[in-house]
This record gives sequence, structure tokens and C-alpha cells, in this order.
Amino acid sequence: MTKPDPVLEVRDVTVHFKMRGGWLGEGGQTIKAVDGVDLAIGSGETLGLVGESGCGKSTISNAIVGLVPTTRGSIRVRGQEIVGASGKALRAARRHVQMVFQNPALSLNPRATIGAAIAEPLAVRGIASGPALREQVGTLLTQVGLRAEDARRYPHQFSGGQRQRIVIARALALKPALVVCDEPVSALDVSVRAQILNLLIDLQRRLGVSYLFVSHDLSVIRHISDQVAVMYLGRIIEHASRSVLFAAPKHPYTKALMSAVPEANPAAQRAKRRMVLSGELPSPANVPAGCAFHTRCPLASEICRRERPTLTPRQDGALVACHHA
Amino acid sequence: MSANTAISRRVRRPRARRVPLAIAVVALILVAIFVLAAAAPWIAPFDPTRQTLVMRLKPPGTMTAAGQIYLFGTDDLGRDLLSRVLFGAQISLAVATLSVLVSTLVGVTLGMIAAWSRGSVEVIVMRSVDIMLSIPAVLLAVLTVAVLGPGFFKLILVLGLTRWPRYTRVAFGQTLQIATLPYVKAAELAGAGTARILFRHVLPNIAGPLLVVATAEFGLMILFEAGLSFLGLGIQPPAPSWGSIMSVGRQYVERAWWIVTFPGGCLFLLVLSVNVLGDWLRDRLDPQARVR
Amino acid sequence: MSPAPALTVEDLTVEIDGASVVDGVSFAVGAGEVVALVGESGCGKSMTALALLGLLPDAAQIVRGRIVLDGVDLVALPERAMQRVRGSQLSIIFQEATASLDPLTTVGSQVSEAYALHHSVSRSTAWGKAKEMLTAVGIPDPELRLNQYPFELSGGMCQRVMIAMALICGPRVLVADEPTTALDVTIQAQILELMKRLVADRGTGIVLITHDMGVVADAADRVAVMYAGRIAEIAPVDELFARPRHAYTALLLAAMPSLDHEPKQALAMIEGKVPAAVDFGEGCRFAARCPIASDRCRNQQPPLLESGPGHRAACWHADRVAGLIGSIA
Repeated sequence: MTKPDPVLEVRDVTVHFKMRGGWLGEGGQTIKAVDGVDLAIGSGETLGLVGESGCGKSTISNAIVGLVPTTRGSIRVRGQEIVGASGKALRAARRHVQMVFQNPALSLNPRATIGAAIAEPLAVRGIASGPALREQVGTLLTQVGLRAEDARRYPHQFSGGQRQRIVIARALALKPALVVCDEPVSALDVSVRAQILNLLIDLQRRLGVSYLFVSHDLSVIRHISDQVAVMYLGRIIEHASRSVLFAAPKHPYTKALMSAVPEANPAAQRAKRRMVLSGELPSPANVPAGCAFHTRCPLASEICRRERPTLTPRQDGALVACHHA
Repeated sequence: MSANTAISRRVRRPRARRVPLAIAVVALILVAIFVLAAAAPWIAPFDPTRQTLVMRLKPPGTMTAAGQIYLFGTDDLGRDLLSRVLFGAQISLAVATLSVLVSTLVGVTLGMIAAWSRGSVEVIVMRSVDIMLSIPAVLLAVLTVAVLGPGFFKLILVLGLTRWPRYTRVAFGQTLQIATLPYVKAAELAGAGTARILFRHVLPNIAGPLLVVATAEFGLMILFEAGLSFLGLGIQPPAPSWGSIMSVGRQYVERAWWIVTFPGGCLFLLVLSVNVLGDWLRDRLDPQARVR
Repeated sequence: MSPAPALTVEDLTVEIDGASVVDGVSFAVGAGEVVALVGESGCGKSMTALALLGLLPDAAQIVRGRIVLDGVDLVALPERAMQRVRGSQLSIIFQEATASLDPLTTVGSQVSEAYALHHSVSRSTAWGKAKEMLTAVGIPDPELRLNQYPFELSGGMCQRVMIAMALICGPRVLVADEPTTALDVTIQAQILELMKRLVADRGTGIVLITHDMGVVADAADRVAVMYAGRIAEIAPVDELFARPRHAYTALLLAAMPSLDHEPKQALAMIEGKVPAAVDFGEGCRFAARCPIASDRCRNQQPPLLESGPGHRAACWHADRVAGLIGSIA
């Protein structure tokens, strides 16, 4: 999975959380949120990261921007190391990677104008000030389909979809190489979702920015990704190009996930051979031994309970972590 | 998509800001007290410290030879009670305001920093808060005065430095909540330093609950000052604090009821107004301003 | 479907401060039938659900209409009588199952209470019924779960418990308000399977409220599309997906990225947003955002007009909607 001049390189990243306990803060369990993940994204490319709750996709995306400390491994954005970086180094690295969050209602300071919000990355780093700054903010606003005059207004005066556009404008202020999108359309209505996805695709075409697009919604992932990685309980269990993954999913979890997405055609939906998983999702505090998926897998056998499968390449280029697929 | 979101989205306009009559009245009373206190040097009919022993313990309405009237009567040293009450208002309000300012500054800053840094800073600050809050408030104030000595500025210091834990608790909890919000993370990603984040992104958004605490504390500080002065530990004579006036008046309650009653009545009115306003503020700020 | 529908809603109108958030909504649910009410936030579907059960907030009033369950008009019922209906003949489940359960009592107490409230039985009988229901909703090891507290159960399991509580008295109709929205996709599939199976076994009608057309395609028999408090279109599910007759329906369908959509091609967009109740005019409420709106649409609200078997749409230009799909899909 090596790419020429990658925008993002994630190598063997592990993120463990220790739960707090006790009066002075000692003791508690360990949550293995991310457990040995490798990723790479090239320039102008979109990697879709898909999985359900507890799979670690939000954790890894937060780790990539340095909001969550990485326990082990390496994360390089445009060659700059994020893991272990602090203060100035981290600030410098963050010039190249920004984030779009899930909930537009909580992504903007309610007490600041949206112009101030968008200007912040530029103002804080002394990149621009005064009229030059205002002009840049105006450009960023028009780029996302809003008006330059809107800079004076407050977040509550905008709808959810518009707020998400503002968040995207803010993310692009520093002209980062990579934008991490953590479920950016999940909280939006269906009709607005389309607007935002279209905007993101358009911006990628125009600016050549790369995306790490995190979502639990396979249909959205399919729409926007070039490459797709499927996560389960902190591990990547399948990684392939979009066309390969959707045409020929190999890992049983990927198949179940696809089967669970309802068809937009009721007749096809009824005719579909459904693969409904048994059992509940285990908690990341108690990851099953061996293959993390074996407790719910229809193909599970003895080796699955003992040995953790590694990502091995298949003929069509897909990487799959399964003893039986 | 809860039904409640559907309502608030539709009916924003009809739910206008109607201030209940009681609140308007109370606010008026507070404004009046503040204005009268500020204007004391100009509207007080007499010098509050001028003693006229021949006119001691005169009832309200007594006239002087020159035709002036002692509206509230005189105290045990012949001083006009109204003038003393007016200047006493200045002292009460000044002490309360300044001590609330000190506690807020100290308490909120400590709370925000503790919540932001977590780790050992949090442990030290919050356990200190626990310890201080487990000592009875009045006892703590009395002990501190015993150490520092009485006087106007020392009193403000005493009150300011014994009350900050309450602000810290609130600021800590609120900051913890706000710190998890995406817009704070976005500020971090933008490259903002801790100070900028705390003062631009956190503080304006935790101001609501803090204001509620400050209002309650204001009323309490007025009572504390009056109480400490009553015990002789706060404002020293001849400075006219309502507490010290009442302390003296205690001895003359049968002969000259007005010495205790007027400052006491004003105290009651002031604290009641502050409390009613504070309650209303809490109700207004709480459900409405909830972004989460 | 069946001779007399289990639930008939006629011209239901709910107002808040003079603005109608639910306006003239009519539909019927037969025994064992799943009727979906679909629309985006603010369309009035949740209000309709609450109105059906008499659980409207104080500010909202039913000003017109009837809700007929087995011949009885629920709108006219006094509260005490309504309490006897709720839970036993008409039930509801909500989106956040974990928030809908009392965190301080065991699962067993809550489920058995749902039964005991409407039948005078001994505690052990009610407990036994609870255990039966937990098995019926597919919860493994029900003995254990009965004695656990809601926080010990996952989101999917809590929703199953809610379904158990809602169905334990064998109601005629179950109202499900976004039951799977908060759940992961694989769990969602499980819950929808469960609901369809139970409906088939017990002949309970379901009013399924959702904003997800995928859920509609999966579970519904008939669909009513709501917009700004009104029903825009109502039809059997295959008809609706194949031949939408209201521009809003067509756009909703096209705006969904699905697994058979061409990737990276621009998705159909609906400009603008849902109007606030105070802004409703005389004409069609969708006119401002509709690509085929005419002056007639802006001035005159179209009634629900027949446009096919069991298919009605509130649109003056229903015949032109088919043309829309070609240009946006």
C-alpha cells in the first residue's frame, strides 16, 4: 500500500485508553480503541473508512489530527510526524490536516461570528490580518456557496447544512493537504446531505485536497471514496479500491454490512438474500481473542478463536484479514 | 428527531421575552438601591459620622432646630440614621461586588485551568476545593479575619479568598463539557493556544451558569459582610456598615427600635431582590441556552 | 387490505399557538400492515405519532379530526379511558431506547409492569409473560436479562426490550417513532427483521415513522410522504418507488446515494429548506422549492388526488413528476 508522495501515512497505529478510577485518578480498564492500523492516502484522493460504533474509526481520525494521543505507531502528514509531537511541532503539522466534524450545531462557537470562526486559523498563525484577512474569509465563504456578507452573522442564524458549509470553509482556510471528515453528513437531512456531498466532491476537483472520509453509511462511502477500508473493533479487516470492494466484498463482516444496507427498490430489497448477523457487538474493552469478529461470524472455526488474521492481498488487489475468505 | 425540536423550530417568534411583573419590580428595587448608594454623598441629609449627643436616640420624624428632619431617627450617638443607612448601602454593595469579583477571577480561572489540563493540576485544584468546601463557611471567614485582621480591603480579600471554590466547581464542570465540543477542538486544530481557547471559546459559553452562581453569591456576601460587621470582625466603626449599625442597635431594641429595623429592612429588601432575580436568571438561562 | 382497518386517522390537525404543525392528515392501518410516515425533520411526523397516543405537549392541541381505533374515537376519549388504551391496544416505541427505559428499575420489572397495568394477575404470572416476550423478541438468556438494569444492555437490546413492552398486551397497532435511527446498520437490520416477523405472527399494524427511505423500502407495505405538516403523497410501497407522483417524493428518492447509484456523480439536490409554520401561505407548501411549480401551485393548495390504484398525491402536476426522475437520476 505504498504511494508516491503520500499525503497521509499511518503505520501500525495503536490507541489504548485507560479508564479513570479512584479518588486520585488511578486504576481502571483498558479500551483498545485502535489496534494496529495501517493506512495511506495519496494526493487528491479519498479514503473512505467505514464501520459501526466502537470500531475505532472516530478514534483513528482524531488521532490523525493529534486530538487524541497515539499509544504506538507513526502518523505522518506530508512527511511530518504527528505521534509524540507537541507544541510547535504539532502546530506546524496541523497546517496540513484539518477536520470537519459530525454535528454542525456544535462545530461553531455560538458566541462568535462565522467570519471570526473561519478567520481563526489564519489569524492565530499570523498569516493574514485586517482587510486582507476579511478578503480571504470572503473568498472562502463564496467557495462553499455562501456570501461574503454572511461573515458578520452568528451560527444560529444558519441552517444545519449551511453551518456544515461554514465548517468546511474553516477547514480549508489553511489550504491543508488532507481534510479528515468525521461523519460530516450523518446529522443532516437527506436532501441537505446531497448538497454537502456534492460540495465536497467539487472542492476536491478544484483544489486537489485529499479526504479521509469516515462514516457508518456504506452508500455515502460508495459515493465519495476512491479507496475503502472497513474497520471492526479497532482493526482494519478489509481494504480495497471502491470498485473492487463493492463488486466483490470478501470478509464476512463486509458482506454483512452491505447486506444490511436497504436497497432503494422495495422489490429488490425483498428479493435480497439477507445476511443478518447474530449476537451483539462486543465492547472495545473486551475484544475477543484471535479474530475479533469470530463471535458473530458464520464462518468461525478453531483457528479464528486462537489466531488473529493479518491483512493479506488477494488477486484483485483487495487486502483481507480472514482465515476463511 | 424529537417532537420538542419540532416545536421550538416552529414557534420561535410568539415566545417573546415577557418579563414577569415581580421581576420588573425587583429589578427596579435593585437599581434604586444602587443609585441611592452611589448618590449617597449628595443626597444624604447629614454627615453620617457627625455626632450630636443631644439628639441621641430620637425617633423617626424628629425635626432639628434648623428645620431638618431625621427621616429614620438617630442612633445612640446622635447620628442621622438615614445618612448612615445610605452610606452603609455603599459599603455593603462595594464589599459584595468586589469580593464577588475577586472570587470569580480566582475561582473561574482555577476551574478552567484544572478542567483543561486534567492530570495533577486537576487533582490539586479540585481536592483543595473539596477541602475548603468541607469547612463551614462562617467559621472559615471568621478564622481568616482573625488571621488577617478587620478592615474594608482585608474583608474583601477574606470573602474573595474563601468563596472561590464554588465558582471553581461550576467552572470545572462546565469547562469539561465544553472542552469536548467540536468547536473547541477546531480552535485547537487551528493552532490557538490554551489562553485563547479558554478566554474566547470556553469562557463566553460558560458565562450563563457562572452568572447564576455570582448572583447567589452576591446576596450571600451582603449577608456575610453584615454578619461579620455585626460580630465586630468586618467594617470597623465609625464606618457605617448595616451590620455594625444593627450590632449597636441590638442593645437599644426596646428604646429605639428604628436603629435595628431600618438597616435590617434594607438588608432584607436587597437580598430578597438579588435572590429573586438570581432564581429567575437561572430559569431563563438554563433550558433556553442549552446548546447540547 | 383487511375488511376494516385497525386504525383510521381522519383529517387530523394539530396546532401550536395557532400554527398547524399537522394539517389534515388522513391514513389507515390494517391488521398486520406496516404504514410508513416518511419525511424530514419538522414535517410533523413525530407530532402525528404523539397525537395518536394522546401524548402531545401542553402547547399543542388537536383542533380537528378523528383517530378511530376499533370503532372508538381516541380524540374524544377522556384521559383515564385513554390510559387504558395506551399500552394495551395502542403502543409506541421511540428512537432512543436506552433513554426510554427507567434506569433505576430492572428490565423485568418494567416489562412485567407493562402487562400488569392492564391485566389483574399475580406478580409471577406477569414475570412469566415478560420472560416469554423477551424470548419472542430474540433476546438470548432472558432469565439473566430480566434481572439486569437497562445500562447493562446494548442499544439494540434495549430496543428489543421496548418492543417487548409495547407488544406484551397484544395491541392492535404499534407506533414506532424512528425505532432504528440510533442503531448501527447491522443491528438495524436485525430490529427491522424482528418487527416484520412479529407483525406477521401477531397481526399487529405498525405506523412506522422514519426519515430513511431505505427503511421504508425494507419494511413498509404502504407509504405516506409528509411535508410541512401535510401528506404530500400516499401509495403502496412498490408504486411509490416506481412511480412517484409528487416532486418532493421524487427528489427524496433521487437524493439518496444508494449502492446502485453512479458514484461521484452529482446527487440531485433540493434547494432551500422546510418553511416555518408561520410562513405557510395559501398554496402548496412545497412550491418554493419545487422545480415544476406553477402559479396555480403557489396560490392554491392541491388536495390529495387519485393518480393510480391506492395512490394519491397532492400535486397539480403529478403527471410531470415522472419527467423529473429522468432528468435527475
